[in-house]
Amino acid sequence: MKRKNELVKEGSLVERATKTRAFFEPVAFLAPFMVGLILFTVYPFINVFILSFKQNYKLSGAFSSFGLKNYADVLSDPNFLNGLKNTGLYVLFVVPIATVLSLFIANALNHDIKLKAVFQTSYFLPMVTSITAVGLVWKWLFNYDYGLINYLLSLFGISAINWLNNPAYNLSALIIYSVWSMLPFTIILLLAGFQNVDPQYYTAARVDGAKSGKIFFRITLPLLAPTIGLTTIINMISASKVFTELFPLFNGKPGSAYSLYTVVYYLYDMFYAQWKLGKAAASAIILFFIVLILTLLQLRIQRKWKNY
Amino acid sequence: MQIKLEHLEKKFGDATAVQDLSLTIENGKLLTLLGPSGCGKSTVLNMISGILAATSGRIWFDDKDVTGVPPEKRNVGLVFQNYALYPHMTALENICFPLEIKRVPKKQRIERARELAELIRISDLLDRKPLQMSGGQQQRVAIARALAKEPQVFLMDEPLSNLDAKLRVEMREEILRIQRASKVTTVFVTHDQEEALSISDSVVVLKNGVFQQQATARTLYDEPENYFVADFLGTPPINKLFGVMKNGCFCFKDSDLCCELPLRHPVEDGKETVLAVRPESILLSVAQQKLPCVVDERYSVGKDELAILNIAGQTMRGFVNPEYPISTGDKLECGFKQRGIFLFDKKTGERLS
Ligand SMILES: Nc1ncnc2c1ncn2[C@@H]1O[C@H](COP(=O)(O)OP(=O)(O)O)[C@@H](O)[C@H]1O
Ligand SMILES: [Mg+2]
Repeated sequence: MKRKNELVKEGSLVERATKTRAFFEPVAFLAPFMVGLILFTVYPFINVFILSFKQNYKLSGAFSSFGLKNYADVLSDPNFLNGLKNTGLYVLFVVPIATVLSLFIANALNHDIKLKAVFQTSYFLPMVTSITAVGLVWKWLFNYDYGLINYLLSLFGISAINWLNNPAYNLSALIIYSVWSMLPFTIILLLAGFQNVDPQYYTAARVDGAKSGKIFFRITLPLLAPTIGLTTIINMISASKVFTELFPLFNGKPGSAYSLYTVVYYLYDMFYAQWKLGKAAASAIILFFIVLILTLLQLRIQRKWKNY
Repeated sequence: MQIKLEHLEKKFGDATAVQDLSLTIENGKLLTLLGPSGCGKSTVLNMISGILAATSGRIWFDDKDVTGVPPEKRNVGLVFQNYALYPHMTALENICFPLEIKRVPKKQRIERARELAELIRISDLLDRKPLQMSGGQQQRVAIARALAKEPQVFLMDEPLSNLDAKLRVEMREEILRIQRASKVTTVFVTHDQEEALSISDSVVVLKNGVFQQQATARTLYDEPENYFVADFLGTPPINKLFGVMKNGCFCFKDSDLCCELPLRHPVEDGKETVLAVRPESILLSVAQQKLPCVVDERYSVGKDELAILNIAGQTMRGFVNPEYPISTGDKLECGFKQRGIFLFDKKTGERLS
């Protein structure tokens, strides 16, 4: 942009026409998208923001007072705090596990492994299936008496775990299921990253005497860092909004004993079940800022990781 | 370290990239592989480094057969055509990387890298990453990286082809200096004849993966063993005059103009031949032979004056003395020097004279 301004001389008619065009053309192309964005994202967001300050808001528009009380209520609600804790734990486990697993799988897929075709189809599966339908399958996998997972554990002499009905194991079940559903997208992005690494660096490293482990950690991984940063940021944001995954596993309840609240589940509960619109809005805004901070942090780290 | 290639062959599917190549590179010498693009130079180099496996044949480093040894165990230094510096590492880290692999302690690594940087004159660039360096600087770093682990064999694949003309000459001398200083057995690959002639102890010419001739630069130019070598070397290119043999003489095609040449062995009459004449070997004033020719054009290229001469319906370019008073349209008699004139069998390219 700056460069263009330097190059074009001020004042000429042609230049003025070009300038006008340079402004209107992108605007014209962006307009449909911008209208959608403003109508369905920005405007509602502003409304939610305002709403979060109104006590006892009714759909008629009436409210009792304006202030921070909703926030105070939400932040002292044990269900919300529990949701915050669960969501935090969830993000903390799901994202790194999914990233590391995806790295290994993508690395294997990037090499000429046997059964590549089978793998390529299967890692894509979670992406093309409905999260709820597959969730029901996982419900069976987690089944206490007949589930495949407990069967596999029994092969190693581990006694059956009541994944879905014992609150102590609810979060673990949710994490396992979510890691699985997070894999395809992460693998695809990482695979693209792997394929962007010029194979000549591997050749050079071999000539320099490096073996495959060293090459992976000193060459591949650093060159992949920007991509890993990107998948992490996207996965963290989507994991902070964990909600849908709860339904198939726990029959629409937040865990078997209502102990697995997540932030979004709390929001949903306030809004649809309890009609406390102000509290729902306040929790939405809190979530928004958490995600925003995470994103900014990530962007900073990512910029540091972009190492060449 | 002496490198010996024995009947080396490389096939990619059905295509043969290198065919029955045998040569020896003496310890501490610099050998150039010269040939047009696609003639298999990189393939040979990559087989020496171990990146490519030979289809058949053997490679010896001194008396050790390294044919099946993977690249990480051959201790060769390789400068890639596009350098392949690790983009996420600084110049210093790049140079240190092979030492890091060898588990040289960090302090010694850096010490050695700094020494090399001194030799290669990049001491002030050590903190930069590859993308912040020019082609010439990257190339020096690549050389330093290849030399860092004190390789037994130093390989360079067209390292100068990405540089501009002036820098190329500078770097050429630099490489020669570094090679002389480090005394490591070196193979240098290029498609540029001038580069090959100015840099090396010995040049090997390749054509379509087939060995043509190994000689010093001078010999290669003065005594090419076949038509391809004669044609490939020299700027402006050697003149090609077509004809047939009659009574042991070369007679210009479709003309009764003949000239006598000292033949290596008798050649039967009627054989189609090519007379190859270096532009500097054409004599216009005092020639033994008196071959009538016409000046088609006269022009200058930089410091040199050239004339395009028509002889028996064929054209040739020759250098002329700038003071020599000839101009377009002049008819005169020309001849050839003893040196720089060769007769080849047109079909086989074999040298006859
Ligand atoms: N990996 C490969 N697969 C198939 N053919 C190849 C491969 N590498 C090189 N070749 C072929 O082998 C021949 C020699 O290539 P190369 O050694 O790169 O030539 P040069 O380095 O002299 O330009 C070329 O015809 C090229 O197309
Ligand atoms: Mg090449």
